Order: sequence, then C-alpha cells, then structure tokens
Amino acid sequence: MTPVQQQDFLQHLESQQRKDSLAMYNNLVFRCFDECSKSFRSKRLDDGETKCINVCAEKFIKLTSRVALRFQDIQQQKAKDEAAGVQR
Amino acid sequence: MSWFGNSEPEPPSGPSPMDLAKQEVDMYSDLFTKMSGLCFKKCVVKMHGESDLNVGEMSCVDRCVSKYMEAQEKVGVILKRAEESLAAQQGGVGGPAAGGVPGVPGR
Repeated sequence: MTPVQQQDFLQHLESQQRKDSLAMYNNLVFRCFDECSKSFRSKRLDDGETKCINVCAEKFIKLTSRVALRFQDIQQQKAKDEAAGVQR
Repeated sequence: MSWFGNSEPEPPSGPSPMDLAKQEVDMYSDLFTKMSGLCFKKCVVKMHGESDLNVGEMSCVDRCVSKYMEAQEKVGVILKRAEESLAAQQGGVGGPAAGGVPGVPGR
C-alpha cells in the first residue's frame, strides 16, 4: 500500500469506528429500554427501572469488550492457520 | 487482524484491493455489532444485582462467540457453493462478485 492509500484506509477505519460507537449507543438504549421499562404509570423511570438500566448498560459494555477479546483470539488463530497453510 | 493477510492479488479489472479491504472492514464491523447484540440477548438473563458479568455469563459469551463464528463459516461455505452453481448455470457469464464471501477460506 502506498502512504496515500494507507491514509485513505485509516480514514475509512476511523469513520467506521465512529459509526460503530454511535450505533452502539443507540443499540444499548434500545436493548436496555426494551428489557427494563415495565410500566408507563409515570413519565420518569422508577427506582427499579433505573437500577435495571444501569446494570444492563454496564453488562452490555463488559460483554462487548469480552466479545471483542474472543473475536480477536479467533481471528488471530485463523490468520495463524492460514499462514501455516501457505507455508505447506 | 487477518483482513490484511488474506486479500489475494486481483486482476486489473473489477473492484480495487482498497475497495475490497474497506468492504471487509464494514463487513466485520457489522458482524461484530450483530454478534455482540445477539450474545448479550442470549447470555444475560437477569438485570438486577451485580453489574459485573458472572461466571455463567462469561462462559456463555465465550461459547456464543465461538459458535457464531463457526456458523458464519458454515453459512459462508453454503453461500459460496450456491454462488458457484449459479455461476455454472449461467455459463460463467458475469460470475460471482470478485472477492466472494469474505472470511471464508477458499477450497
């Protein structure tokens, strides 16, 4: 890759990462609201719902980073296997 | 990550290697978003108590990721086969899109 292409690629990567984190925000609200909102007798989240939203959001974030870790493991293993396959 | 390694040299026509690399980035990021969402749905059942993942949830996530990736590979193989038979039916006119199914090792 030429430096210009590299720059282009990195820019694409960065814009994709920005898109991902915005999408993740929406996704998180969607999931946790769906999971946690139980009644519509008040216009505010009640104590139980608030607690639920907090736990849900934190769990989702922790889970996502664990998924990233395992995903990375699998991709690295695949790359290794491919390299070994090429050498043979 | 592996997408740098497994892009084969392309013939001069068709999408550029850069386009393919970008498409692969997009594809993996979509895969990741979908996988995280699904594994969350399948592995985290109760939202009260601890905000840390418990042991059961952790091992569930690990298996979920591994299974999802396996499913991705299996579906990729089937899709590739279908594309190939379609291409054969059409007498090779057009053929499958260059690059085919990303993340699937060629046979």
